[in-house]
Amino acid sequence: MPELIQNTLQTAWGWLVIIYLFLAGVGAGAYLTSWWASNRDLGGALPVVGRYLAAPVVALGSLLLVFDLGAGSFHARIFYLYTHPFTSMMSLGTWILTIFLVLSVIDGYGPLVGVRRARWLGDVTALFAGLVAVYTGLLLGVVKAIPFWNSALVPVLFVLSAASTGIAATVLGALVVQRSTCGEDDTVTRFHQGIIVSEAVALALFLFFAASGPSAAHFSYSRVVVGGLAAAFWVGLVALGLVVPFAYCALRRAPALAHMLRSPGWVAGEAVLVLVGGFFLRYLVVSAGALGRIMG
Amino acid sequence: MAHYGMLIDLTMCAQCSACTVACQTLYDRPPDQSGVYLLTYETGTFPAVKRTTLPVQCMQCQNPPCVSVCPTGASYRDSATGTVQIDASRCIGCRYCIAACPYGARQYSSTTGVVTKCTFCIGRVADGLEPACVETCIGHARVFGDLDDPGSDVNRAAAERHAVALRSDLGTRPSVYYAS
Repeated sequence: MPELIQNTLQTAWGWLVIIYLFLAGVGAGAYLTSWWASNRDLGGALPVVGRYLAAPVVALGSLLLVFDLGAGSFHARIFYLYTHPFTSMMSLGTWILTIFLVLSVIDGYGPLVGVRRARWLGDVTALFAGLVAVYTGLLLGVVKAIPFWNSALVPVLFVLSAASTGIAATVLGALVVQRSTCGEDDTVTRFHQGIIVSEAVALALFLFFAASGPSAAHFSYSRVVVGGLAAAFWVGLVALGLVVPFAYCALRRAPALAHMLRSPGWVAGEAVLVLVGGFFLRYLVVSAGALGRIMG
Repeated sequence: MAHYGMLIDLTMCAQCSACTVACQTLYDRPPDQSGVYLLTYETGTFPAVKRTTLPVQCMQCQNPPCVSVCPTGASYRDSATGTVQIDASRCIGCRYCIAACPYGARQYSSTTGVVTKCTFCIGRVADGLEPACVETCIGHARVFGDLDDPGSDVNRAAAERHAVALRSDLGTRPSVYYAS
């Protein structure tokens, strides 16, 4: 039982939810990356790979969430999850995930069985990919009892991270089928650089508001920035997940480094670090959440 | 129709944990789980310090955050009694309600895979009895009754003793009041 005479870390959710939030973001972001790449008429594997990655990655995440349920993983009771979409963010999210999975399977894998890829279907699927990313943030954002989560910046952060990790996953996948991915053209890295900068700004604002918010939010902030989670924050998220990828995006245009940094090894290395950072973001936000004290 | 509520008078609480044990015994709960638990804390600065115990349980909120986050409808507010209940046959054990409850009043049972909490002993109340924690309280620190009835014991005692709800700033509108 929680000791609510002081701010107390939440114990409701742990690893499976963290991994699920991460994978849902990666899958949604991967879809959006390919959608964006095909709208920009980028050649190669990028416009396709994310469409293939999206459904399995989001499905794996959703499966982990189902395993996390106490009622038994495949108990028929889990279908009650669909019954309260207008009041519960989790129920609404179940609908969004289900619709996204169906659409992304049709859009991603339909061509394999001869279904022509329709532009309107891609646009609708991209809309639901965006909703998946927003929902992963709102799931935490609507919880008033945990002030660190109860911030409009959580969905903003999670959407930006979904875009960033989605680009990384798509680039990694594209490298497998086409080693020259992102070797010559800078369109993706420029776009990615902008997202990384936006994510860093959102992160700074999120932590600033937590630090100046209610005592439980400040407690969470301290835990992340100087407390028990500080190593994960500074090394995992800030250094590996944001600073190094940003530096990579910026430096690969420098003539002296261009040749080296455009090799498949460096492109893949940057993508892996972005994924690591995205994972640490979910880990930090979920595990630093704390309930406030309940008396004066 | 009723709206059941409770007053807990901290000046009469002997910190004996009889309420916790009564709840565990009646509902066959394991030692680490109970519908009621005691938080002990210190107030004041030396030498004027005081050690106080706060019995905490489901506040039976009128605007319960656990109900609004519940994706399955397992958590619901029963309008006939004004209490918050859990339909275990709909609970999938997602624990969203545990995260959403500002009072830490809900517990996850890994043996049953569902969430439990204080029910205000609604079955006993329907039989004309008081909740087990009220009946067993040696200091008569607990007063139970219908908040909709202006003349009820709980309403009169709460008014006389200037009782307050916990964290009313969150808009949860609890039905459990504390006097100190």
